[in-house]
Amino acid sequence: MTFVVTENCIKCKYTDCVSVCPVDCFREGPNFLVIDPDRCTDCALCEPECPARAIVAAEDLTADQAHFLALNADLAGIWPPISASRPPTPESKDWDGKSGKFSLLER
Amino acid sequence: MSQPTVSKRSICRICTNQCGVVIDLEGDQIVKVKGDASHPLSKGYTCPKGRALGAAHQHPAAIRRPLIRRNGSLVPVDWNECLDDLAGRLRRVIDTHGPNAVGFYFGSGLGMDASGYRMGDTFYKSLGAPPRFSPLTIDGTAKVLASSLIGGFPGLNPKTDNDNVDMLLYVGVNPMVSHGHNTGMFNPAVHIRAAAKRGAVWTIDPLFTETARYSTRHIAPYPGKDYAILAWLTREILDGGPLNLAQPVHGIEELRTALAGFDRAKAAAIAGVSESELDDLLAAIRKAGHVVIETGTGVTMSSSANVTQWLSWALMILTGMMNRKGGVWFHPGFLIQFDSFELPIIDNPFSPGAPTMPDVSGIIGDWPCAALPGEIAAGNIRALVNFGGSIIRSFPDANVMAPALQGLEVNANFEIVENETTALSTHVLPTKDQIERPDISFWDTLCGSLSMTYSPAVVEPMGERRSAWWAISQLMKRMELPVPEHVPGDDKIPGADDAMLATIMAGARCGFDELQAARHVTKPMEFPGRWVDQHIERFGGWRLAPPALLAFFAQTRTADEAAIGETRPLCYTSRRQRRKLNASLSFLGSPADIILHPEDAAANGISHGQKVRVRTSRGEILLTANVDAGIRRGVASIPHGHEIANVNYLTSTERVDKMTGMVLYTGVPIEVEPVAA
Repeated sequence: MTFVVTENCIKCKYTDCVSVCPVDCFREGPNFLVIDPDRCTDCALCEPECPARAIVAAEDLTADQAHFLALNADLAGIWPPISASRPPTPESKDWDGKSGKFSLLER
Repeated sequence: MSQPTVSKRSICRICTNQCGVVIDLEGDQIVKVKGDASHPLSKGYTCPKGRALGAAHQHPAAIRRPLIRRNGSLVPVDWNECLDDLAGRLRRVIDTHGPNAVGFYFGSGLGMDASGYRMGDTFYKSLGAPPRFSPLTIDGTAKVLASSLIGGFPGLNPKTDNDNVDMLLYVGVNPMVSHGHNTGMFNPAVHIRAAAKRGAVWTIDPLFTETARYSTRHIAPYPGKDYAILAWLTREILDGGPLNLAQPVHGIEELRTALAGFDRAKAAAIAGVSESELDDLLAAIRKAGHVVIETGTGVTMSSSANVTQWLSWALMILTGMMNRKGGVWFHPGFLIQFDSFELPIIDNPFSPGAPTMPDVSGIIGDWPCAALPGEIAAGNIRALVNFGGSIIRSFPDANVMAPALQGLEVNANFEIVENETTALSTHVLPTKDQIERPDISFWDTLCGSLSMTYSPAVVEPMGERRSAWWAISQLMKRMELPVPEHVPGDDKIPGADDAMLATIMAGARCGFDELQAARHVTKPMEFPGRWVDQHIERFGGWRLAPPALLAFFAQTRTADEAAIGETRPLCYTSRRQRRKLNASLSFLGSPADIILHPEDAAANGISHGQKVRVRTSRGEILLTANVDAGIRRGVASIPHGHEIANVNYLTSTERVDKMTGMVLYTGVPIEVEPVAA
């Protein structure tokens, strides 16, 4: 199994999750992170680190979130790795918790 | 121009799990540490502490040269000068006051250095049996006690069969952060979630921990009162099952008698939980037909540790979970093969203790750590050899510990990073850190498999650091103590460190050469282990009702039953943090906070983020309020191991378990008040 980054990461992209990942499985896009499911060890260390609560175990994805499993896998094959956390941007907090962000995802 | 990055495989020796890591180096600079996906056990997993190995190695306060106190200050000297001076001073203490005037602390620093620890033990034994201290009496004596009294051997350490368990009860343990209490658990979330999926995982803890988050249910009792839950469960199992004995038992009727009248209402009132929660837990156990219980420092640091641990074993024995699939297994040892000989019956773990604490005995050769300041004050201990322990941050009552250390004639510390304990030293001996030395997984029986791992050194030792075994053997030579013939005269001889490791593996399940070539060797393990069942049969069965524990229970129960309905004071529990390892890794930034329930915070006029003065009868510290409804009302949680906000300014050398000398670090009453900004 794997953990999956879901919608609330979009435009928040805090990156707190990145520093705890033992296998560097995060990939970074313009305004969203994804987890490479082939590298994820399912250790759950990243899940509580996310201030936006955007990281979810694959088996716990709701029906609305289910499509993020494939999206993470697809984008992980395209986006470059990120292995160090960065300070949040001024906008991170503003976007945290906003609904309907999926259309804002930049690929 | 930057140097090319070189990746080297090693093992993390921060805890006994020893996850595989890959260390990226640019020259001698560590630029990154990550999990080793090729490691057969950890499979890429490391925790944030393991990923901090590079920062720990490159710590700005790293000690690079031996130090000696001169005119009140520590000054750098060469090894010969340091060892000559230290040996001379120790010899003078021994000649004047006898070898028992030298105390030894076997701290976790050298505790994870296989050859250093072994040579330290040789040094200690060469002086006879002087005062010996270790983390045992500040971490958990109840496990050794229960193992001896119930199982007839102090080293039986039950480990959950994580691949098959389907009814798991975590009591006062948070493996998501600790990786189990001496049980060895890689990637804990995977195991916890899998067990919950197979059946159920319940967590009993005053705090909604990271482990509780992945559990099926969480019950939050008052600290130190979790025994009441287990006592009621045991009585119910005895009366209504499921009773399924896998091995012979002794004392079942005495146990039944001891628990008579301990009903649900009483258990709920003492533990501070609801009767319906107890009903649900019992129903879950009855549905599964058995229960596996893991405990941790939430239990062992409490006043009821001995009975809680005992009852956890009793429940597993009664439901047939000892040494059985889906239950717990016992490590047969890799370095010493416990299944290759008749295990001796050792049902008395007690040993002579400290003269200044006559009502507290020693345990398996250890004196209570709480006795150290008193022994120094009495002039009994005049020299201390500290093998890598942060004494002021980990021993009880830092208010008296720091002045006591200053009263020593000799205070020698084997340490690699400056701290408040080294600051009080007469001698500081910097030995190779974990990535500067080759090593093996020395604490084999604390690992989660029948395996052994080897790692070569990853970098050259910084400054003038030397191998710990070499420094100790040189000290012994200068003191005219016998050094074993196999010990090389110089750690700089190629292969000398490995030669020392090879001697440790003389009776192991594989040779050192095989291990060195393979890096990791796992042997097939018989499970259930016949050696365990045979030992228990020779012992006459598990002893369910050891008289000492019955008496402890009766005393605890009587006091608690009498106190039902009384208002309880706010008290604190101790916790380990995700980005901190007890007294070390402070640089990772885990805050010195106090978790308070919103109602307790409000009742004391405290807001989230505010500075809080925390006080006991022994002292006070300042912590930052972390107001969180995840903790039960009436309880606060304080992390251990912080330097300024040292929880040991709140603890006491007198608040110890009289049976085993264990210091009480949980369930201690406190007063809190906001501090004006």
